[in-house]
Amino acid sequence: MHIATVGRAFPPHYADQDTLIAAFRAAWAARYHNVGRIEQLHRNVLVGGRHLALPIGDYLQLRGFTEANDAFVRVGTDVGAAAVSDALARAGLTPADVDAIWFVSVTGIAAPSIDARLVNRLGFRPDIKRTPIFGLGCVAGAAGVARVSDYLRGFPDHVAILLSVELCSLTLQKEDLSIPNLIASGLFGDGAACVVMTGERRAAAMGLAGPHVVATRSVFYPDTEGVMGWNIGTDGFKIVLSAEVPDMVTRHLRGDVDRFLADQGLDYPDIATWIAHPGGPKVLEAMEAVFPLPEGALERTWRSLREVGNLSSASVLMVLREALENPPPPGSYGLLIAMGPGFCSELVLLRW
Amino acid sequence: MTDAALREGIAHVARTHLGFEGELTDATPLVEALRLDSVRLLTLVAELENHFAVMLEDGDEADIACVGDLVAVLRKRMGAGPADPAEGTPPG
Repeated sequence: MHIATVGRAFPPHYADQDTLIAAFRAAWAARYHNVGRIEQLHRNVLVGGRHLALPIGDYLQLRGFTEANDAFVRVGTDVGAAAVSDALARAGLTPADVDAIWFVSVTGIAAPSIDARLVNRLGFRPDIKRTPIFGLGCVAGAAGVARVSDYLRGFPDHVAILLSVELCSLTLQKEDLSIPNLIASGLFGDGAACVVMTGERRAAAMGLAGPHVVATRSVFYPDTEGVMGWNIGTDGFKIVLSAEVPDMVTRHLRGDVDRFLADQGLDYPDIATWIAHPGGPKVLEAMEAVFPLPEGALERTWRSLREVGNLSSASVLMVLREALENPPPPGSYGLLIAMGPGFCSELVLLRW
Repeated sequence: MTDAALREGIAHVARTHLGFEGELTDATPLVEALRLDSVRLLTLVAELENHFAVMLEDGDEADIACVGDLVAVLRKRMGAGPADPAEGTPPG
């Protein structure tokens, strides 16, 4: 189960955080007595700017979930196609080479799903196996790599792709002035990432040099449904975000990784490359506090957060892409980590 | 505004935005009664500012343990000019 390439794509609109803060202040100042709090929250997330599915002025014109989700399907298909094309081109493959596709998103819904629309748009084979997944949230990038890996164990000659499309800006709740919504409106951005993976025999035939998946682990934390997620209603997706998210790292993740590595006969010094989901500053600070990480181990993750924000499931794949472009020596291990609604975590051990 | 009115305003904010059920007295400990983590504390602060049209300042929380302390801080800030927003780093 080899990782060949990661492609990516962003919608064409980009705004730096100053521009976004000014827009939010203008939109919410009349209803928020201390409007400086919006700016403080949006600066505390340490995001420098974000890509947007729509021109910034168009968001106030969106009327309800129908128009926002229509935009998700339209823009999501475009950026999804671009990410797939980028990934396949990097691997020297074409859509006709792809045997299976997993599509993950938590920021919009479609039936037929985005992956089905891409079969028509990009020309995948009619026998392509499709698995669209909604609801895993930020963990879906890591979980997707794990599930594709599971599939490829049974089909060692196959090529499978994982596509994540997250247009978080389209979930913005203009009428929700709760602190979680203010945080989310400053933290999350838009983007798509596509991972091309192959089974063992296909990788050998292609002479792939990328890392392979050694092992994966899913961990579900019982009775933590309120930590993060959506309340879904007439107006779309309303954020559920509690202060417990960083606590999950402290309370659970360290022990999970301890056990996972020990089961593989490994310890922390064996991990050369850390590929962590950029959940937010407090989550990353918690990781740096509880894990014995070498200096700069999460720098790729911090940089991704600064440059494009938290892209939900696409984010960890963007970090993976950076890791592939600057690989450690052959034989080195990498650990891909993400957490998401459930609450839960997914761990993927890679070896170059 | 009387202390009773300030207390009632705090209770209204707690019920409306934090799901609090019950009665608040001056002796009620805020962190425990309202289960204040960082997000819920920011929610309380921001909604108190909206409710009372007041600006709370960095460091105000150091003087607040119970409802009576919060009443005193609100009284001090009522009529005060704009201030920097209170510290708060999101969990995201």
